[in-house]
Amino acid sequence: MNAFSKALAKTLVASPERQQEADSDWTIVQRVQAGDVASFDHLILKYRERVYAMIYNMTSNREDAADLTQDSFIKAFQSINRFQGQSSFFTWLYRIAVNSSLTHIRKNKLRTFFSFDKVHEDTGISEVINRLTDKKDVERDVFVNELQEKLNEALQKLSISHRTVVTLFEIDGLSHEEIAEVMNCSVGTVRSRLHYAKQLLQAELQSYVRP
Amino acid sequence: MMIPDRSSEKVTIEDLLRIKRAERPSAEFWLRFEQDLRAKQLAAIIEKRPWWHLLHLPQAARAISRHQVPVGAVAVLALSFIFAGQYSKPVVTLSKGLVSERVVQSHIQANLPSSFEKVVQADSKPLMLASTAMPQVESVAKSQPTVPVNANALSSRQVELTAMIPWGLAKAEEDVPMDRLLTTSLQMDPASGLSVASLLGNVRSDENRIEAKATVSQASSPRELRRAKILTGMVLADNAEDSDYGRVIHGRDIAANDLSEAQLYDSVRRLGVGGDRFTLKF
Repeated sequence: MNAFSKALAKTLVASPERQQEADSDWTIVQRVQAGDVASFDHLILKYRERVYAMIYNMTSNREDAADLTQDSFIKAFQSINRFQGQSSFFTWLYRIAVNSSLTHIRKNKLRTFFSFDKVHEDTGISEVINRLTDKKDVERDVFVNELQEKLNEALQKLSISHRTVVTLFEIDGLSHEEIAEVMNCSVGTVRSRLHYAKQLLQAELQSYVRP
Repeated sequence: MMIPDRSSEKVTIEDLLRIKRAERPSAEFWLRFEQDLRAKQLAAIIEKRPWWHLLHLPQAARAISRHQVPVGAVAVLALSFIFAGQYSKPVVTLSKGLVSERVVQSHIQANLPSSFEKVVQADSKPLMLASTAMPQVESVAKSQPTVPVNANALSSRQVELTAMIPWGLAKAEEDVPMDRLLTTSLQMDPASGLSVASLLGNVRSDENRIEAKATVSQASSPRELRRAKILTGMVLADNAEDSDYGRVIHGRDIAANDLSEAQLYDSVRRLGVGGDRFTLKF
């Protein structure tokens, strides 16, 4: 077991699929470090949607999210030679993206301009929307847009750290351990922040929540 | 057909956040994203990175932050040593002064008649260099009543010299032995007081020197001796270029004024203790 695998086993209590994914990423990273710059495109294609989704839910602005996602990949590309495989590439890339987002949010604290992406309704999402409303067609679309707006407002009312935890856990599907590594804090802190953030969101969205 | 009533169905906050997860951009968005990213990537390859990026400052800061407690402790210790060194400097100067005083005393005692040794020992105080020097010089002046006027002037210069050497020649003492320096100074032309004065950094006129000399040489009683000491101290205060020396002598003047002899005698006369009584006269 090499140093990378040991570090990964120590830091991530992840599924075997995650570990396999991390191993394949490490192979690509080594190729890029050796000079095969085109291999970095594989990493971009693999992670761009997840990184974008995370930044989009942090900033609630699709244009900013697009710019920040591009910047995160550029930073990762420029610093790829410094990546030693201490953590998985995915975690490392997320850390870059989270830090870029935090810097951007702090800089533009007073500027709150929301723009939404379209909700792609799959079976699960349609079922949730059906539970919330009986409206059809255009009225339903209007209801969904209104809900998106309310969700964005509620998320923006959270502090940056709470918003990050909720985004990474509930929307991007990272584990507590992965979030702790990305945010450089303990797993207990992540759990505590998540619990508190959900309480706040529940209070903000009580007209939609039916316990 | 019946529409099912879904208003009673449970909706959690996790369900609502799943809607956020379903927000995804269109395919056109990703095409544009890729073009922009490609352009930025090329620009990043071409663009020369600033030199401070090569220093890896965040990594260096992180490495230092691990050792911030020992580094801070060492910094505090270093600062303490520096300040302690600065504050201990006056002590070093004082010890130099004491050494020079000893040199002066040994020089004078070697030239003194034995009858004046007791006076010298009785009046000598370890830290008051001028006050210890003055009775000795006074005794030298007394021991040579038949010396001609020029020689008398010389002895008066010697009075000043012995009184001033510890302050005026603090640096010269480090390299030149005091005995040799004194001899060299006194072998100069007695008429040209300037040579001695320039050696001591003294720019005062000869008239003032004669005044001080007269005050000291005329003193015959212990009271007058003390007055002479104070007067000489004042003269030296006038001559002292360094503000520290001036301050020392000024402080001495204040002490002398506060404990003037008349006041002291007056206080003693007013107080009386007899038997079981304590009297105070107004």
